Amino acid sequence: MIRKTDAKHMTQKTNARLGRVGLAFLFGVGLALLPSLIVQAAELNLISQTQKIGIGQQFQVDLMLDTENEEINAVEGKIIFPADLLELKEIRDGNSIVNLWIEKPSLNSKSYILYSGITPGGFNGDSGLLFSVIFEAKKEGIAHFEIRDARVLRNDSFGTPAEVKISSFQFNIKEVGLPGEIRLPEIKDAELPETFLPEIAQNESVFDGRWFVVFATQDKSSGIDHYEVIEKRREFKIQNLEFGDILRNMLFVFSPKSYLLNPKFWIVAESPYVLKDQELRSYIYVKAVDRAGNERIATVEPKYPLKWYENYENWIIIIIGLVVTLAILRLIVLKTKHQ
Amino acid sequence: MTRYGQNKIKIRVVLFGISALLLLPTLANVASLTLVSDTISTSALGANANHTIQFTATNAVPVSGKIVITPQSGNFTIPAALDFSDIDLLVGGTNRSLSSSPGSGSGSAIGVSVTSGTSGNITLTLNDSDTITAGSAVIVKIGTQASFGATGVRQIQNPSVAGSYKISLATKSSSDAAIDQADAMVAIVSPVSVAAEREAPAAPAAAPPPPSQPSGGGSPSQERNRVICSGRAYSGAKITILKDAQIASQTFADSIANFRVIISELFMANYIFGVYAEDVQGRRSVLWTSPISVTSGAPKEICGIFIAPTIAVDKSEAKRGDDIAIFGYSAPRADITIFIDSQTEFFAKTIADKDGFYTYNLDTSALEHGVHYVKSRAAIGGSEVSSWSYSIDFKVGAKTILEKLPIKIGVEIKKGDFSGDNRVNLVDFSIAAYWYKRPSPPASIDLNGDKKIDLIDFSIMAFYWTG
Repeated sequence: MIRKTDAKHMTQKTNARLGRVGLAFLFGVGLALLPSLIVQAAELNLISQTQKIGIGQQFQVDLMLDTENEEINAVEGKIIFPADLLELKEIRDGNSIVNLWIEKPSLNSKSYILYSGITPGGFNGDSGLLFSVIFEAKKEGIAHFEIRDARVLRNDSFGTPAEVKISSFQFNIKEVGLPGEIRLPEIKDAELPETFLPEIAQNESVFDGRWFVVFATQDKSSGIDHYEVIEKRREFKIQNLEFGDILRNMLFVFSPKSYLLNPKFWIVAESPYVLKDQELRSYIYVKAVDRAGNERIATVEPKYPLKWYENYENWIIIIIGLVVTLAILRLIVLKTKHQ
Repeated sequence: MTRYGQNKIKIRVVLFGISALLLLPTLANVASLTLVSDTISTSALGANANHTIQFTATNAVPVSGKIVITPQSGNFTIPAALDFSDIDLLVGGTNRSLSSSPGSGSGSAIGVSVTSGTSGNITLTLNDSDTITAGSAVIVKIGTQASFGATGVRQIQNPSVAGSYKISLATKSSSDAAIDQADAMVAIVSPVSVAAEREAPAAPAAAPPPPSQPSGGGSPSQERNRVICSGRAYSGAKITILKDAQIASQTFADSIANFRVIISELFMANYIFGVYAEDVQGRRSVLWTSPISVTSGAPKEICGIFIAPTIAVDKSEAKRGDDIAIFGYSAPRADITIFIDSQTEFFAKTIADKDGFYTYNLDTSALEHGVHYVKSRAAIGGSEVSSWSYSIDFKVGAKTILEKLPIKIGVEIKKGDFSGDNRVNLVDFSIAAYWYKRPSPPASIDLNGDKKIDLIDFSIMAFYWTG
C-alpha cells in the first residue's frame, strides 16, 4: 500500500524527473537549432598592414568583404575618417570584386568616401577587395575609422539585404613612426586597361531620347583614371578588300591616327556619353586611361556610314585618277600622231 | 600587233583602271558583319562536319534580301542533296521556317538554295514581307544539329589539307547589292577533333581596333595567361562566358552537353568569371559565377561547371484541377528535381530525354488558389548536381491562360532589359544609372516598384545579367 505522503513524494519526484527530462529535451532541441538561430552575417572590414604611423607617412587601408557563404551582388556604404589627422591621397579600385560602380569610390566633402557598385552574378568569398585607400598622416592622434550606411544585397533576384557585421578600425599616429618608407611605392603599371567594346544605345527615358554610347573596362593594376571620346566621320574607308588590313593600318598612320594622336581632339567623358553626331555617321573612338597613363582605345563603327560619294577623299582620288588618265591618254595620242 | 592595236590595248587598260577607281569607294563602303564565328563539330581532315555560323547584322536585310554563305572555294564540299531540311536559321533567337523557295506573306518560309560541290554556296532568301533588322543576332546551323522542322542528315565535308579556311558571309539586297560582309575562319587540323573547344579572343570585336596607344607607363607587357572553362550545359546550347560582367567568349556545347573554352590574354590579376547557357529554344539559364585569381604559368582551369536547367511553364494561370506543364532543358538523361514552392512545398522528379529536354505535368488540384513558384535542378550520377534554375511563378485560379510562345525564362522575361535588346548589360546599367537618385523614375526601370532607383534595383538587374 502506498501511503499518501509516499504518493505525494513520489509525485514530486516524478514531476522533478519529468522537469529534468523536459529541460534536457529543450536544451537538446536548442543545441540542434543553434546553428540556424545564429544568423551568419556578411562582414565588412577595414584592414591595413600598417600598425604604427608617423606624421608624414603614407599607409594603405583596404575595404574587404567576407560574404560568409552568401552570394552578394551589390554593396554600398560610407567610410568616415578623421580629416584633421589624415589626408586622403589616392583611391585604388583595380582588382576590385565590384565590376560596375554606380558611385565610384571618391571623397565626398572632406571626410568620407562614398561607394556603391554591383557584381553581376554575385560574389561568394571570404576576402573580396572592394577598394584601397592611401592616406597620409598629418597630425598626432588616434585615427578612428567608421563604416556607415553599409548595405550588402543578396544575389537572389529580389535584392534582399544581407545582415552585415562591421568591425571598427583605428590606429595611433605618433610624431615619429616606425623606420621605413614615408611614401608608399607607386604601382609599377606597364599594362593596358582590359579590352572593351563600347555600345551605342537609345532610350526614350534618358537624354530626351538621344543616342548615347556606354563603355566600361577595368585596369587590374592602378585602376582606371578616366575615359576620353572622339567622334569622326571618316572620309575614306577600306573594309573588305583582300589587302584591306594592310592598307587600313597604313591609313591609320596618315588619316584617323592623326586624330587619335592629337590630344586636342579627345574629350574627357563619362559613360553614358551623349553623342554629338546623332545621325550615327561617325566612327566613335573611346580611350580608357589608367592611373599610370596607359591607354586602350576601342572603336565603334558608324551605324550609317557615309556613302562613297559623301567622302570627299573619294572625289580627290577620282579626280587625281582622271587627271592621270587624261595625261596618259594625251601622251598616247601625241605619240601616235607623232608616229 | 600594229601600233594602233597596242594603243587600243593601252586605252582599254587605262579605262579599266578608271572603272576600278570608281568602284573602289563603293566596295570600300560595304559594312562588316559583327560577332562573326563558325563553330564546326569536327576539324578532322576530310570529315563531314556540322557548322554553326553566327553573326550580327550591321545593317538591315530588306524583304527578299539574302544571306549568302560561301565556304572557301576548292576546299569544302557541299553535298548535292543538302537542302533546307539540313539547315536551321535563327534570327534573334527565334527559329524561322525554311523551304526550297521563299514564301509570300509575313511568317512565311525563307527560301534556301544550295549550289553544291567544292565551289558552292548556300543562299537564304527572305520572303516578301519579313526583314532582318539591324543589330539582329543570326545563327545558321548546317548539318545534323539542325532540328527545327526536320532533322538534318547531310553535312559539309572539310578540306583534306590542314590549314585555316574562310567561310565568307554576306548579306545582300533583293537585287544582289552587297549590304554587309565578313569572313569567319575555321581551322582544319589532323588528327584531333576540337568540337566546341577553341581559344577565344579576349572580347568579341566588330573590326580590329586601331593599334593601341600605350603611353606614360611604357610598352604593353601583357602575358599570355589563360583560363580554361569547362563543364556541362545542354546539347547544342549556346554558352556565354563573362569576364568581369562583359562577354569574353561564346561557344556551343556539343551533343552530349559538354563545353570547353579557353580565355587568353589575361593579366595576372583577379577576375570574376561568369557562365550561362541558352537552350536550343532560346531560354537562358541562371548565371554561374566564380572569382578567379590568374597567375602566370599553367592555365587556370575552372572545371566541372554544371549549368542549371532552363525552365518554363505552359500556362501563366491554370484553372484549379488542370495540369501545368513544367519543362526545359538540361544535360541528356539528367535526373531533374522540381521544387514547387507553395503553401505546402513539395518536390517532383523526372528524367531528361536524350536531347536533354524534360517535362513534368503538375496537377494543380492539390494547390491553393494564388501564386506559386517553381524551380528545377539537375543531377548526374548522384555526384554532379547543378544549382537551382530561375524560380518562375504561375497562378492557380478560376481560368486557364496559356503562355505565349516562345516561352522564355518564365514570367519574369526580361527584368532589367530596359533597352529591349533581350540582354541585360552595360546599356541597361547606364539607363538605370541615369535615374539613380533622380525623382519620378519610369515604372519600367523601377524593378522593385518602390518609386526610386537605388541599390536594390541594381541588385535585381545584376541577378539577370547577360553581358
